[in-house]
Amino acid sequence: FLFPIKMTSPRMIKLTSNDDKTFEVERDVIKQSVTVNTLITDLNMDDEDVSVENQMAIPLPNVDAATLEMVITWCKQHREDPPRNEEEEEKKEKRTDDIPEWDKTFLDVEQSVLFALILAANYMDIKGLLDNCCKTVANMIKGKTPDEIRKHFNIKNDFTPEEEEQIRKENAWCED
Amino acid sequence: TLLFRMSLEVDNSLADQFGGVSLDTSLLDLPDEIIEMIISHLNFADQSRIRVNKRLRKIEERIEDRGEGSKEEFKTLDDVTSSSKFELSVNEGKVSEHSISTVATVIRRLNNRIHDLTIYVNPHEISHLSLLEVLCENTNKEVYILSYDEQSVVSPLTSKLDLSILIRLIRNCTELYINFASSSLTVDDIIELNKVSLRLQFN
Repeated sequence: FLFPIKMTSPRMIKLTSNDDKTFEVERDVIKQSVTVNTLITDLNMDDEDVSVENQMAIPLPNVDAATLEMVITWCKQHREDPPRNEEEEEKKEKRTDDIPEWDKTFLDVEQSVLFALILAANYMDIKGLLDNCCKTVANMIKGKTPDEIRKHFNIKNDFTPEEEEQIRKENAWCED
Repeated sequence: TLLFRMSLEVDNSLADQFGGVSLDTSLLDLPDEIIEMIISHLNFADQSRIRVNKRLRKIEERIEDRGEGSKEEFKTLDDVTSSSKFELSVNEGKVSEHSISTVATVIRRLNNRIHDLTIYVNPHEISHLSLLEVLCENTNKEVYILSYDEQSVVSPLTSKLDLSILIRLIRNCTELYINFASSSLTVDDIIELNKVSLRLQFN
């Protein structure tokens, strides 16, 4: 006996960057973005009768194409991750040595790219990506002197001499 | 509306060939709440050093106790992160102990971020009494003042611990524990202290 088998391809979602590039991404992959996920639900875009061709693309006006591509790559890599329990995450010890190896390599990029990724993760509300990006920046700061931090991140010292002296005194214990 | 719920708008006027992202995007282009998340991953020493300009100083100084989260007991200043329990031993020139000025700085800086503060003072060092002044001015936490030598009943330090200092401490702390007696406190002082404590509880 032969039974007809209905082949179901994964549901796809269209996302458009602020420079008008459209990406098709599996529904299951982009569910990690709370912003996109909520929008899909609110707009009933999970309706099975709508094909991807007829589907409205979700505009992401704060994310450029290059960054969106990276975000999608990250989401694909982490699609099998268990859902985050934010209450548990809050209770956890703040560590920066637990970034997965794949993420370490993925986030080993120019500062401007990393910061664009942070802004995108924040806007799209992807907690795991945002968390690992923040840890990566924290690791860049760790162990550096104030002058090294200014140089590394190109930050101008705008303290008055009095303010600087106050900070210097307060930091004396950790400056040896 | 969800698409526009985040507060930050990227300034695309600076966008360049790199996919519309400015190559100048820097740490300071991040919103305060993100910088706060980054800083919260640093230990106390690195948090102190991140105050490299006015904005970062302001952000760093408003990071507060994270509540009931981690309960680790940290032993050195370098290990201190937000929501730590914190213990300090005061003694000049000894390894793993800290000078009065360091402890005073830590009290001022940690006031908003630590869960429990315990300061070990030497009951024979009158100079350690100055830390009580700093505590009176700065803390609003549960405070323990413990003597190294629990047998000490009367010492140079305890003889200076008078009613006015204790009242000032009680006004600021949520709870105050002292494990040594003060020769300058009379029975009437203790009664007065109780009255103040009760008034504070009911106000």
